[in-house]
Order: sequence, then structure tokens, then C-alpha cells
Amino acid sequence: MSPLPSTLVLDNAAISTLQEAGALARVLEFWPGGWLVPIEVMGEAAAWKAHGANVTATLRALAASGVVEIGAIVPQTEGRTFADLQRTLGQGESAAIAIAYHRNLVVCLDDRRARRACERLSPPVQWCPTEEILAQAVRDHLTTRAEAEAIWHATGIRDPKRGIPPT
Amino acid sequence: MSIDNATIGARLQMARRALGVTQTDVARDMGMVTSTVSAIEAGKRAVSGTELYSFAQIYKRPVAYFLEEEVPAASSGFQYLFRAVAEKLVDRDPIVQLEQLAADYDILEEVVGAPPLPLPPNYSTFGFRTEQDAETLAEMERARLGLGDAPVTGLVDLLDGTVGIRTFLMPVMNDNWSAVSVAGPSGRPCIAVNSKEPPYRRTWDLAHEYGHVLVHLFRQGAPQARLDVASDGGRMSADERFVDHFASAFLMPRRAVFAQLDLILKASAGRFTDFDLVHLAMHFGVSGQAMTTRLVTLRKISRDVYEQYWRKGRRTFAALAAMLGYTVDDPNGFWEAPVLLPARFRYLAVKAYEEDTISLAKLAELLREDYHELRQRVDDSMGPDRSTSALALDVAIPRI
Repeated sequence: MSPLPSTLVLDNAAISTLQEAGALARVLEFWPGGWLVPIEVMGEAAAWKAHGANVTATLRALAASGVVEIGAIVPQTEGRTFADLQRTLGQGESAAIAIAYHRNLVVCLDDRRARRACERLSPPVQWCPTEEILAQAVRDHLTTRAEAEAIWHATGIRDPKRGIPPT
Repeated sequence: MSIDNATIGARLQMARRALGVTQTDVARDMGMVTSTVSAIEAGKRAVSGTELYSFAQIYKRPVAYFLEEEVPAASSGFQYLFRAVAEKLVDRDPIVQLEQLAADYDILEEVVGAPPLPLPPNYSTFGFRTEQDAETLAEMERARLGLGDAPVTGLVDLLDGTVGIRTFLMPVMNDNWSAVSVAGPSGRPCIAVNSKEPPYRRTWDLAHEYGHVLVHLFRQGAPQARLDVASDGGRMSADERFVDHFASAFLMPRRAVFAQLDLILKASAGRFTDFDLVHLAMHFGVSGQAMTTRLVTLRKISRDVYEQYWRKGRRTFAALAAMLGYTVDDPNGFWEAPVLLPARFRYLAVKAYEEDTISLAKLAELLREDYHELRQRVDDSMGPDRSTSALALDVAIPRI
């Protein structure tokens, strides 16, 4: 059973950050069945000139083994939320938030405008940043603090305001 | 709030018709039978999210296009364009792209709170028809824009950022149309020119479409769109001849041509050679053909000389220009011709991001750029405090 609060809906920012660190499969395999990747996010990941082919191959392999589910918005019931969000957010973020909103899931996002959009919805959508996934893995003894720190360092993110929170 | 299947179906049908493909074509691409596509379009069968994503890929539209509140009436300008491209069997994808860019521009102005620029006067009621009228109109527009007799540089941004016409350069496969002008979804005029054409040709096409927007696009009873097909053959209509004269006069103002010609002739003891022609054309940013035509119109060379010149064909214009140090070929090359967005569009998009109104992923979508590369560029531009900009300038300036 997944120790995550619920299925986590992944946005492209989280996926590409983990891919940059060379740890996408490693981290997602911590919680098999705990992830939902919207098809719109897959599309954005595929458009990544440098690593798009690798990312989609990894995600498809993980989907085949049941680690992640590749899903899509339900146009009739989730489509309006998606279209409203799309005015100011990317297609992948909008799909991830719309799915999380309507299915009461948590979304993993790194863009502060996207997070603000989550908070503006009623009821607000719960979100977490990529580093929180690593912190949760340490808490659940799925990895060590040292490995989590090494993965975070390898993402190349140098923002001093970000980093793995205390576990 | 939910969206009914009929609304989604109607939008799917609109998008399919715009691209000129049949239900059978789409069914084949979707791995469905034709009757399923038909049922989805009629709202009799629910489309799934995965199917909708695939439809969006085929129709080259964002998924959100199919999920808007209600089915809008397509702008009459774009309806006309889609019919025109169907008749002439030319590349439709850029028209779809232009419609999307025009819609994005409207949203951008709205989210940034930037008022749309004032439009030029509607000259369609002035009764402009003759060559002399075209000269007059060009002079009026130059005066209105404060251009004096200076050569026009950066016509895309002049039209888009000053005149108020949404202006884009976009690649057209097979080079089968060169330019379009159309009233966009909000009624605002838009121009698109083939980015695969050489820069001086694009400048000409931009000025040509500008003439259409000023005089023909909003003429009562006229179609709210114009499609200029490359090598259309046939005889030019009066409207086309008018805007050609306008483009010529706008890009090469009479007084400026006389002044430049005078300088050249003084330097070459009254002789006017191939190199002088190229130099003059490059001064105004036009092709040799446009320049010689203008010289004929201004009665500086005869039609015989013009024809003699173009029959020679010994050395190409580009080769002569290269000897003089001008670059006439696009640095992007023919195959790599991208969608080129006007500076104001990019500025509004970046402002929206800076003001936290849109996300980075949305910025990448609007700029038609790779999200990951853009993210890297934004990271590189950040100052040590991780604010959006490395610059510290953020001051209140009183409005005049």
C-alpha cells in the first residue's frame, strides 16, 4: 500500500526534475501504484528535445509494470476546470490540477503560479513540491537521507529556498 | 459544471472541417470506425480524455479548445480562409496556427490588462483605387506613424507594436502561399507571412497585406480575409495592383528614392549599374525587382531597361548583394524557418510571467518554445536572491 497521502498526480516539472537527476524510475518505484501521470503531461515530457524520448520510454515501462497509471481528464466532468486553468497554466499542469481537484488527490507541482491556482480552487487542491517526495521516502525508510540529498543535488536546482525539508 | 457531449462534438467537427479532413481520414488515424467519429461529433457518444487528446493532436489544437463554455461562431474571416485554402488546395496548418496565435494574443492582453492598441483609420470608405491613391495612402500612413522618409526596418514590429495589426511569420510547407490577412476572432486584423521566404520578400508581403488591411479587409461586403497564393499566375485584380503600389510607395517613398538616387549618381558620375541597384534596394530592404519596378513607376528608368535588366540574369541579386556585404538569405535557413512572434506578443507573455499571472509552462506554450530549455534560461537569468529578474529595477514612474 502506498504510504503517500493518496495517489499523487505528477506534473511535468516534477518528472523532468527527477529525470535531470537520473532518478525518475528509482523514485517512482518507491511507491508502486502511487502515481498518476496525465496524458497531457506525457505530451509535454515527450516534447523535451534533450530527454523526451527517454522520459516517455521510462514512464511507459513503469506504466506497463503497474508503477504509474497514465490517465486523462474526463472531458465532460473535469474539462471545464481544465479549460479555466489552461488560460494561465500549461496544459500538463492544468490537467494534473483538474484531475486532483475532481478526484480528491494530491498534485506534485513546482511552479508557484500553479500552486496558487490550486489554493484558489474551492475546495483547494492539496499540492506538494518534488523535494517533498524525497523527504517522504526518507521518512518511510525507502531511502537514506544521503541518497535523497544526492538526488536533489543532481537535479541541478540551486534555489536556496528549496531543498529537502527536515525529516 | 459539466460540458455536454454535443458541445464537445460540435467543436471537434469545426476543427476537423477547418483542416479539411474527412471523418474517414480521422477515424483511420484514431483507430476507430467512421461511425464512431460521426457519433462523437453528433454528441451521441461520449469522447474519452485519451481520445480527446488524440483528436487535439490530429487537429493541431490545444485540448482546451474543445472544452470552452460554448461553441463560438468561428470568425467569418477564418471561415473564409478555411474555404479558400480548401479550394486552392494549399497548406492549412499555418492557418490553424494563426487562428490559435490570434486567440492567444487576445487572452494575453486580457490577463496582463494591456489595452489593445488603437487601430489605423478605416480607409475602406475613402474610395482609394488608383496608383496615385496608393501613393497618397502610403504618405498618409508614413506621416501618421512619424516615419518621415526613413527606410522601414523591422516591419513586423512596426505593424504589430505600433499599427495594431497582429503580425506573425510562420513556415508554410511547400511554399504554396505567401501571405494572409484576416480579421481575427475578436475582429482585430491579423497578418501572417511565410517565414520560409527571403527577408526582403517577407517585407514586401507584409507591406502588401498591410495595404489590404487598411483598405480592403473591412470594406463593406468584402470577405474579411485575403489569401495570397504564391505564383497565382493569372492577371492581378485591381485590389492586388493597388496594394502592390501601396507597398512600393510605403517601403520606397518617392522623395527618399530621389535623394538616394542622387547620392549614387553623384558618386558614379551619372552611371547606374547592377551594384548601384542592389545598393539602393538594400537601403530600402526590398528585392531588386521591387526596386526596379519602383524606378520605372517614378520614371527614372524605362520599361525597356527594366526588362533588359531582368533578362540578363547573369548574376543573381543575392550574389551581388553578398559582394557588397549584405545578407539576403535568412540566417535560419529554409528548412529551419520557425514561427516568429512579434516583440509585443513576447513582451506581454514575459510580463504575464513576471507578474505571476501565468506559469512557466504556459509561457513556454505561448512562446512555442521547449519548456525545459526555457526553464534553464529563466534559471540563468535569476539574480542571487532568486527573484525573477537579475536586474534590480522596479520603480514607480509617473504617467505623462
